[in-house]
Amino acid sequence: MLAYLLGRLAAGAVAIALLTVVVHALLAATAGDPLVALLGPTVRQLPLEQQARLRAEAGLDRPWARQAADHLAGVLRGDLGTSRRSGRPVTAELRDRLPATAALALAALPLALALGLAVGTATAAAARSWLDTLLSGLLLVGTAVPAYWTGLLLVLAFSLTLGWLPSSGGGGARHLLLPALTLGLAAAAPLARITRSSLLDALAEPHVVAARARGLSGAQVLWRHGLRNAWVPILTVAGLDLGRMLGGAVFVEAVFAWPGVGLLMVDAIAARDAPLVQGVVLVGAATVLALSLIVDLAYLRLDPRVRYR
Amino acid sequence: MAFRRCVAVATWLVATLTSLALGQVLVTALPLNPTSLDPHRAIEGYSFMVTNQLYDTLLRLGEGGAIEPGLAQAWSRPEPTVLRLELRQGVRFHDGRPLDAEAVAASLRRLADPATGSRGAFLVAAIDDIVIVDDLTLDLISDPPFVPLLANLTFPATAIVPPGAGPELARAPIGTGPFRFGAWRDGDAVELVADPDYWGGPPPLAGVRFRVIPERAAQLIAFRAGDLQLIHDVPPDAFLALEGAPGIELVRYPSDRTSYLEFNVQHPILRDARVRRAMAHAIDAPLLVAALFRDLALPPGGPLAPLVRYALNEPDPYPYDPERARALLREAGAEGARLHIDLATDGDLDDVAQVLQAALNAVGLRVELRVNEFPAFFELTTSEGAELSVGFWGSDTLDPDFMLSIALHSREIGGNNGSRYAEAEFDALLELGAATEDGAERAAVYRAAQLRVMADLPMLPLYHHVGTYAKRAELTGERVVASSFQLDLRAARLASTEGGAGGR
Amino acid sequence: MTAPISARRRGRRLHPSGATGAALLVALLLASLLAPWLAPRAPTEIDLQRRLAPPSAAEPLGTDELGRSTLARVLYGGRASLLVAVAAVLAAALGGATLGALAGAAPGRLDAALMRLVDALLICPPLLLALAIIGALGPGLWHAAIALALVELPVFARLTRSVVIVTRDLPFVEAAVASGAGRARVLARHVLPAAVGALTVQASLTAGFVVTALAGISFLGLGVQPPTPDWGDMLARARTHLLTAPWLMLAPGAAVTAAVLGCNLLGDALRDALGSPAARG
Repeated sequence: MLAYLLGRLAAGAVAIALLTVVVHALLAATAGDPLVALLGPTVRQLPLEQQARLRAEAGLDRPWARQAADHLAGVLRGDLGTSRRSGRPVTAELRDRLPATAALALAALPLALALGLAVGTATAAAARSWLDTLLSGLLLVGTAVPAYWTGLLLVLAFSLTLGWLPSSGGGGARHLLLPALTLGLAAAAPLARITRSSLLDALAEPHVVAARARGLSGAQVLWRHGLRNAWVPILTVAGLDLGRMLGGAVFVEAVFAWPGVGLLMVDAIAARDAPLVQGVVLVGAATVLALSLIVDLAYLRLDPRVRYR
Repeated sequence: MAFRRCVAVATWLVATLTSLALGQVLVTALPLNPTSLDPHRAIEGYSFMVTNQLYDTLLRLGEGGAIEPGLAQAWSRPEPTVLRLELRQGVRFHDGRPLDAEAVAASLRRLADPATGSRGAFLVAAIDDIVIVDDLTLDLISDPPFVPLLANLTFPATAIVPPGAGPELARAPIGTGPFRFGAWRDGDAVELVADPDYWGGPPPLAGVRFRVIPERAAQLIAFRAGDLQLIHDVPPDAFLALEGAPGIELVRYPSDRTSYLEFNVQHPILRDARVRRAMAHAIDAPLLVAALFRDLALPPGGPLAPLVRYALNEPDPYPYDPERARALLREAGAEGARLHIDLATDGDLDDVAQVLQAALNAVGLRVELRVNEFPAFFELTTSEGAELSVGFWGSDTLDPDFMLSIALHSREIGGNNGSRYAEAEFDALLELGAATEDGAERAAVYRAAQLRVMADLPMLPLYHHVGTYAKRAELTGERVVASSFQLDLRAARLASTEGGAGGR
Repeated sequence: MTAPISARRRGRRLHPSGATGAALLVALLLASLLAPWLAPRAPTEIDLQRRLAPPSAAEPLGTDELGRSTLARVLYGGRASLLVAVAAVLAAALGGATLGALAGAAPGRLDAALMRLVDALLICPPLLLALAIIGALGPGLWHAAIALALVELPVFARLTRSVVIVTRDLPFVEAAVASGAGRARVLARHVLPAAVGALTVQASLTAGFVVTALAGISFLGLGVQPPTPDWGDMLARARTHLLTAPWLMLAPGAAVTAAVLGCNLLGDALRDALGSPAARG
């Protein structure tokens, strides 16, 4: 088991390294004059030898393959370079913003799970009734609604019309509520759908039908045979969707000016801050890798039937 | 590292508790996270809004552009090439070090040093040498004499920093200003605490919190809810929505900003002055102002805002006349010409650019918009391939030299002179104006220069901004001169409403 | 990420919802193509005297901050938000299929190298990677489309590769190759039909994400340039006027939702009907 996980970790690390190099190359190829990006446009008014000296000091005159290799070596050491627009280390910028995004994700997760599982279970239990049709319809629409629209609608309802909650900014629970609600709703819909379909699959298995015939109540069947067998695909999809959910966080942070990593990425792109963009991509990939490993670990612990080569 | 963080948290805690106990904290908004709290590295107005509370400049701008004492309490010109500054006594930086002539000299040198990478270096570029006369007196030598230097020293980028300050100043600012640095929660808020030892007397406010709120709409909502006591640059629609609301005061002030349509005068099509004049006639400036800004902008009276010394302030020589525009384009053979208007993503000029595009297309041109983030925008508009662009300039020192030199002197081509305007006579006028003391002669020089700009049209002034801010009635004593970042909170106070800190 | 999924399909009938989805999509596409005839006026026509007007008989969706017709902008907006998104998905599908077919038919080393690249692209959350590519190329509608196409390409590559690998090992294919028929021709004749089904399902499912992402990128200000109408850009502008004209954000948001709903309905129905093991999203 351990060997398998280590193997996955290694493969993931290789993938991240390759990604880092690819993104670095892309950003370097399209950067324009990196000296201008570093010191501002007025640097071009300096005499040319001074520009050359500044360029050499910053290591900008080496071939890009060398710069890419150095960057990768730096990443392994934990040095992600310096942000162009603020002059601080990228690691410091990321460290300042990660807690906010983590708080948002952690606040949204229980909501998504609770709502998704509840609604999914309800529709599976009420299969083919009017309730099912209604809820399924709502779920379909809910999956299709973009997170940024949900956010705006919530702001309109709760901030502008009712004036209960602030519409933006970082801060405590009051400020976290609407963004977490938005992200949670966005993540709940796909979860509900997969819960419903895998529950229906599980409930149609012969031994379950037999159990019903033997007189077990609907709720007991649902729990003992339904959910306990259905959690595998639910977990798979939840894990897969987490990657997309992290993307959704960017939109939510933008709507609510929540000062997390997503908003940092948007600012970094606006400022053509290549090291910062690379840093965020790295963090995103590392997070997805970590989460997928956790999901795999969960399989190992929770399902005795699952074995890995 | 962890220790420093503890200290920062502790300082913040103390600051908050102190403010709860003693006085009120003013909460206001910034449109973006400041990039640096080092005045020599800050670029944007909103960064300067914060640094202006932490640092002092040698001189200050007063009403109508008058020069007032700052860290320098008196100044004189023993000779035309010498500006002698006498510093205030007993001023200390927030870390306890004294302010003296050596410190001021070091700070000015740091500003001018290319290694610092300051965009404000040009403000003191005319200083050839600094001579320390005594502990509190220094001479700034400029040969030939540079009259605008006095006004330049009011600009926030020239603020005085402690000797030996390095890049760490960006996140850990130390100045001589009325407020000390408390904490900076990146992307969220900057906290400042009143300095009880401030040379001008302890500020009535206990502190200032600058919250980063990018969306104007969000700022307005927070302001209406009472989370903010002050917001700047209120957009026209919102201003009207707030009018008459209880407990809220709206303030309009004369601003030094003007928006322009800039032309690359070396462009194959735009180099023909008839084309530029045609475009001027195609635009209905009064309608644009009335529709988009109501009374929060003024129709153009010349290249410089009316607040600026020696501003032209005369009727528009190119009134709205689409027929004349079409005729001129025909004469120049430029009908159907394809052009781009470049625009930076600041958002506020978005609507203006679209109206301009529609107006120019209505007289037979084919104009498209190109929006870019500021670095790319700057590259595009300062290269040889530049075409049209919309932007604004602030004459932040209220001296006519500031904007005319940066934007239109030929030495700035490739830098800030995106129009690539190079007229030897015009350059000579600017240089003469910079070397002439204020008076009738200087006024005549700048009148001639501005008339030349309106004749040649390297840039077409569209409208002059009217500055706005909104505040809660409990806030008094604040001062804003000419520009939102020149926010003076030394004498500001918040009358307590029901007691307790004034911010959430 | 491999996990044993209960592959038991319950053989659901082709839902009428699939047809609804297709109909919805077609309607939106037609509306954007026929916009010149359906819109009351040009979407870029500015009328400064009638800014931020609420819905009325002449303008059922009101006007925006420059007096332009919201209805016209929603109709024309489909061109940027929907048509371009569809183009991006097609590009991703074609590019990915080519890459995947190459990898599946190629010798081990090349296959492994290509798959390493694909894995590297898949490990990053797709929107973040798309944003990074836009960071490199600069903002713009087509840059955003290219970015999204690149980001979704790996999924199609993986899918095609699996189909190719499964097909090439089939006995009759090996027999055909052994009897002298060109490998490429054989694969094309037998792989193509199998792959098209799976690719179509995947394309419909991906389209939903791409529409949302493309409009979202414009919402962030990194996509379409003014004055081109676009649903995401309209939402961003509506936001500035949330206080004074809250109705402005309803139509563009509803349009995006409808488009994504159509794609999802169609994709789900196709997947159920064809019983293909395409990955979700």
